[in-house]
Amino acid sequence: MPNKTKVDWGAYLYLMPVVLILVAFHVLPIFYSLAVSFYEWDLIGSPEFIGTNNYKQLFHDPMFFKSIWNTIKYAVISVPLSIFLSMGIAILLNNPIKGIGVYRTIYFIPVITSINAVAIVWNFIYHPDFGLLNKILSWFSIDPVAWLQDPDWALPAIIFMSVWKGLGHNIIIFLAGLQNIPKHLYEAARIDGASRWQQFKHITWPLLTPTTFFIFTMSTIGSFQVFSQVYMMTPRGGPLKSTMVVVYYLYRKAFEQFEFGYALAMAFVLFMVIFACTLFNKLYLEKKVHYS
Amino acid sequence: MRNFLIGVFIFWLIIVGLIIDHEKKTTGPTLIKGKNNSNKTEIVFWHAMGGPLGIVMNRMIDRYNAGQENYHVKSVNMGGYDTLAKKVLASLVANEAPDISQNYETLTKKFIRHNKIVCLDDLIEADIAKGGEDIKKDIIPVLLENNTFGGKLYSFPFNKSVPVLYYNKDMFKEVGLDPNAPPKTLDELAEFSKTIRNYYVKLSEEAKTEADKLRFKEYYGYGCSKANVWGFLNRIMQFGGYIVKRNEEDILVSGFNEQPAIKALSHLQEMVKTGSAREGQAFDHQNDFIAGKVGIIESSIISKVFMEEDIIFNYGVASLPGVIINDKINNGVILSGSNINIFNNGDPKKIAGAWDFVKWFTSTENGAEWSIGTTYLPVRKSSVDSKTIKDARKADSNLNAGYEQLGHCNFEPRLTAWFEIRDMLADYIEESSLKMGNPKDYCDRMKYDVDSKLRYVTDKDE
Amino acid sequence: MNEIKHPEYIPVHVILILGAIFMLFPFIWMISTSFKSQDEILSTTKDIVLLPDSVRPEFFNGPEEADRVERKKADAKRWEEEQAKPESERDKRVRKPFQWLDNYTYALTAQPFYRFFLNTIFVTITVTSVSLFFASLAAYAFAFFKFPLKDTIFMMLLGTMMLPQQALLIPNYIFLSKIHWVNSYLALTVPWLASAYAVFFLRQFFMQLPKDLFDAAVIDGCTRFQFYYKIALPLCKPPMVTLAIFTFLSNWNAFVWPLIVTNDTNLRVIQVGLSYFSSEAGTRWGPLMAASTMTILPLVIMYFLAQKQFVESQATSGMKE
Repeated sequence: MPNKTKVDWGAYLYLMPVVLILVAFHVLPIFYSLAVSFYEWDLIGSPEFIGTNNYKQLFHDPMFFKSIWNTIKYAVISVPLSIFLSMGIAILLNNPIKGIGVYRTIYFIPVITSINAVAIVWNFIYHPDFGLLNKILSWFSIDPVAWLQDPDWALPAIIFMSVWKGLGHNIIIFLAGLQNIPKHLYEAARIDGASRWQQFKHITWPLLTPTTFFIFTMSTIGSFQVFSQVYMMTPRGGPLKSTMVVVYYLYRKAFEQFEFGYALAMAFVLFMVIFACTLFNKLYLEKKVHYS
Repeated sequence: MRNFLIGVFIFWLIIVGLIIDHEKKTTGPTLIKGKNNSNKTEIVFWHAMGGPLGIVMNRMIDRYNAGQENYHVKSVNMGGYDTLAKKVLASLVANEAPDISQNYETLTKKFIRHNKIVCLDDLIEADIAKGGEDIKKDIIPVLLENNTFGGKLYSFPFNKSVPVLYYNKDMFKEVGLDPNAPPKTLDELAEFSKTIRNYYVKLSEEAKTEADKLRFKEYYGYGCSKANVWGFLNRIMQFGGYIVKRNEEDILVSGFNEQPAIKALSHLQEMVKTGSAREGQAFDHQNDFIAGKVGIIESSIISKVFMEEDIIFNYGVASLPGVIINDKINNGVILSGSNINIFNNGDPKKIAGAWDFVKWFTSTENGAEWSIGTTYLPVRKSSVDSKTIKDARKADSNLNAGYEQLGHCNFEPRLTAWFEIRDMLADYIEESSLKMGNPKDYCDRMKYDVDSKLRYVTDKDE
Repeated sequence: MNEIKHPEYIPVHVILILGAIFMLFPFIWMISTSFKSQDEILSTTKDIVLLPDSVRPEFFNGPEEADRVERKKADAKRWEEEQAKPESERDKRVRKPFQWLDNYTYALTAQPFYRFFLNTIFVTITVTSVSLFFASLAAYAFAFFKFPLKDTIFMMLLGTMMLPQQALLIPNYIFLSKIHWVNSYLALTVPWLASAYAVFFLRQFFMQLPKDLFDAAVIDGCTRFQFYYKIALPLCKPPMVTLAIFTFLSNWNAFVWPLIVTNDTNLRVIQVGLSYFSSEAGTRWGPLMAASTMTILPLVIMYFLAQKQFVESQATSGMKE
């Protein structure tokens, strides 16, 4: 038997490419960004140290709070909606029916496409005059809605499109989770005369909690970082700033108003929020997760 | 698996081969030319001129390059002004700036403060010392003023435009308006729009088929874009107001709480409220105009080259309407578009080349060609008077509105905080047309917000 | 037939088919619009016309369409008449009738999409293959070797996944410019050759391989590298395929990074080209949809071809994190 405590110095050779690149392009920039968040810097001039002023200013910035609030709205609606829809479809797909492969393929297509191209298409679908959505609504005599230009509808429209785009991804993960549930449990339940709803409530739902938890955590992190669809579909942060989310606000501050220190301070606050959420999920919610 | 990997590798090699091949084809001629004249200095020019504008510009740049012994201008389109500004900023941090680029005045100010651009006065003085002409005497005054900071010319006017009215002459005729008399005042604008709207509302009511009923309901008199700060500021000028000025204590204050601004905002509100006007997102109003659904739109003179190939009716281009003040029509518009900066990259040869190109491009004849090809304003007075422009105006009377408004052009405050302020204004204008509240309230809040931003502004040369 | 034996699955199919239509319809609409003329797109009829006028066969038009077909013919005739006249006498307002590929030609002539495609394919293949190789090496070391600072290095890798990418753009850009990589293929590829996520993902799978297998092989005189490429890698094919597909997708769809680090038109990738085109084309929906179709279609075709592999690998590796 080889010596268990022997050090493999060769390991560093295996790690070298990854570690070198990650340190250069992902680790050092984080420290650099953290440092810059204590400076006032417009990129062209030399940075001026201002201590924690950027952070203080952040907590007096109504637009920052508005953007946090919008982000929370986005997360609170889109995450559960996507989870329930994708779980439902995954359960349907888990039946012994024909054409599962075709369905999976189709449901996954929005996931593989780029958000840029998809946003252009949805901009067109949401168009108030000749968009597809209003055409369909007009069959039911519903008056046209200016989806992306209406402060009440812009955020829901973006959420709807995001759920559509991400659904396939969650479906695939739920399917994998469902296939891990032993079939004999259902057979036993059927013999006991359990209804479909009871089967779901007592077998599927509890045994699926690890998957649900995983998806919940990942989608929450993802929805706090939502950016591209807002950037592509609602310029200036939407009507009455109703779609101004944190990362878009950060982006505007940095790349349009050139307040880099301020933008980076915002990035770190966001990082803390995401970290706290992940921690909360891990410490509190995971206790309720049923690991078989 | 191994076969698959080999297949991918071969495919990758083919792609590399195609890229090298394409590279040779696109930059090949210049590379070869570069070998023949190894003394040609490359001048990198970043701009945001796409579509028909880019075609005119690249045609001119090619001509410049063909006739040049010393310099070669490389034109790089950066898509839009937003991207361009981002790329210029990023490149300055990295000391990889282009030699020339288009920019707005607020950025020019930043560049001056950090000594990133060349002062054009120095170059002009050097020219004069060598017996060259004093270009500044020939630059259109408002454009000169627009690019002068601290008494010195730092950027060169390049693609400046004015807003105009486009109106559908066929529709004017149909509804009983004189197709050769576009609205001269804002009151007329409101009245004409109402006439057009009423005509089609009536058609819609009398329509026999359901399709016609729906179609005519969507006809409007006047169209513009939503949250349109430019339009709002133009109106303030027409009502004889001001945007920002210094008070007795030399502090910057805005004029948004004063009558002209309130009237400007309520004029737009009224037109939307009465149903004669319609606000669309971004360029929707242009589409509506092209489709013949809107009789009059307010847009940049530049839109002409973008729209003209699609328009199939007779249309006219007119100066923006004014407001009657003391029995005289008071006109006023605000310039849009950008200027050229020459970056101080430390190589005198490149600076000389950049300056040579800027002078060539804006010279009397080339400036006139640029102007009639794109409808941008020419830079020089002599271009306006040139035969090229006069002939072009004779051939196409729709070109006139741009030149006619030269006399009453203004520009937006050139403050570094202006970008942020403009965004605030857009929010209020948007809110005003969405909620239709009392215009005075919006204007008061505008004034309060803008002034509290202005208090921290240390800029000069607004 | 399953369905006939189990009629209770028919409602399941109905729901799934409705869902599938909902998922696919935006793409169908996009493709259909890409063959429509601006006039056809801007018409505010209530009907959803899926078969564009330009590709619709004559016999397809019912009697209610007769009017429009006539008009179309008249337009075409008028255009021909105008063309017959000398240039100076032509009525410029008579436009060329719309041909079905016009939107594509418009997009392709407005931007050099051919080169954008080449660049995208080059960057995507390079990054996918090299980053998978690097990541599997590192994951292998983390799973099988003992060495000082192992946990520290691993935690550091994980930490890089938490900050929004937008915050890292500028520091990275400055660094790239210091080493004169801005505006080059190096800037497009090298920073993405390492992925913490990939290392993390593969490590999980390597750890599931029995440790005894490794020990036995080493005793048999198998070197560590031989074990890696002869035994460990082939055993981890499904997760490698999954990872390859995800890396491929994220590189094909990357936008902000290539936008910031390249200046020359010749270095642009497809997504950047699309965004430049969309700011140029404004509201010309036809060409915009044509350009979107061109960026989406290659991926969808490839996805269909790799579908079987993908599903297999998903089934075995989807949820092991």
